[in-house]
Amino acid sequence: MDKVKPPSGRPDVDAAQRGGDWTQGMDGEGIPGDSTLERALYWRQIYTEILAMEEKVLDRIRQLMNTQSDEVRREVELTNVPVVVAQAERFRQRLGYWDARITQLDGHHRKDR
Amino acid sequence: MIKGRPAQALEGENLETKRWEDARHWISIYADLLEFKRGILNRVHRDVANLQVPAQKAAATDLKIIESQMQGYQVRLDLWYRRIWELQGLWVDPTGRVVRHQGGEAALTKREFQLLQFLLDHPHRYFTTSQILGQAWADPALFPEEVRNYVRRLRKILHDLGIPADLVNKPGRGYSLVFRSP
Repeated sequence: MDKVKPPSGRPDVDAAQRGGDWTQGMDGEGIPGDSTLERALYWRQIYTEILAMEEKVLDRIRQLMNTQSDEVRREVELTNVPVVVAQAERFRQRLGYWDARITQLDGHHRKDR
Repeated sequence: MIKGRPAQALEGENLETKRWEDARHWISIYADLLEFKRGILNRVHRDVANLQVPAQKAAATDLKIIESQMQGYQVRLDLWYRRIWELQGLWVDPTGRVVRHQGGEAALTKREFQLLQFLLDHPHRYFTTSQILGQAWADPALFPEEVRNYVRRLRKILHDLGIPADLVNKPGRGYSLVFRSP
């Protein structure tokens, strides 16, 4: 994470910020630097799918927000949007790690040939 | 996970208000918020089902957060419903099984009272006949006709006391106590 945000006084918002911890991988993910090409491709696929899902959810939230009252819009801005944005950012970062690992392994693979 | 605790009050929200309109306003805000979150939750549930297992586990964080927010909103919505009843002058006495509303009074039977109390505690939510048998009366062995019978009796009580609420029945969803504007 590039910066640590102070507690907001909103447990749900704090949880959203925790959810955006880029160092947090998924169950069984392991460290990209130790991974084989096959594993790296697998995890890239996982992150590509989940990132696409989060982006679709965020689009849907923003679309639905347009039809809401000011109070509801404010609350959603404060609660849902940060949750999804933080999660998406985390997945984007993790995807970046796996992309980099694939490039690295692919380079070695080509050199070996 | 935050369970069953009220969400923090929203900006401008004051539960001590003496104005019926304020209570109605906040009830509609929380109802909208719940509807909004329900829509998002359903969408996420649908999308998560298409992901691979590790991704499903990671996405569960979103689901837990949304569910906990919804629980908080539901608690606040219930607080506002109780407040609106106070403002409306409704008084329910469990000891004597008496309901008073703006000078009128009715003594209820045990089952009538249990059903009314149950619906007042869960306003604007729908309950099937079997849920009412099990949750309002804790007696699933009773016949479903009993529910219809007591619903009829409660509707008459609501009408006689001038309580601005309807006990509605929606096919496939069940019964619900729904407020009317005064």
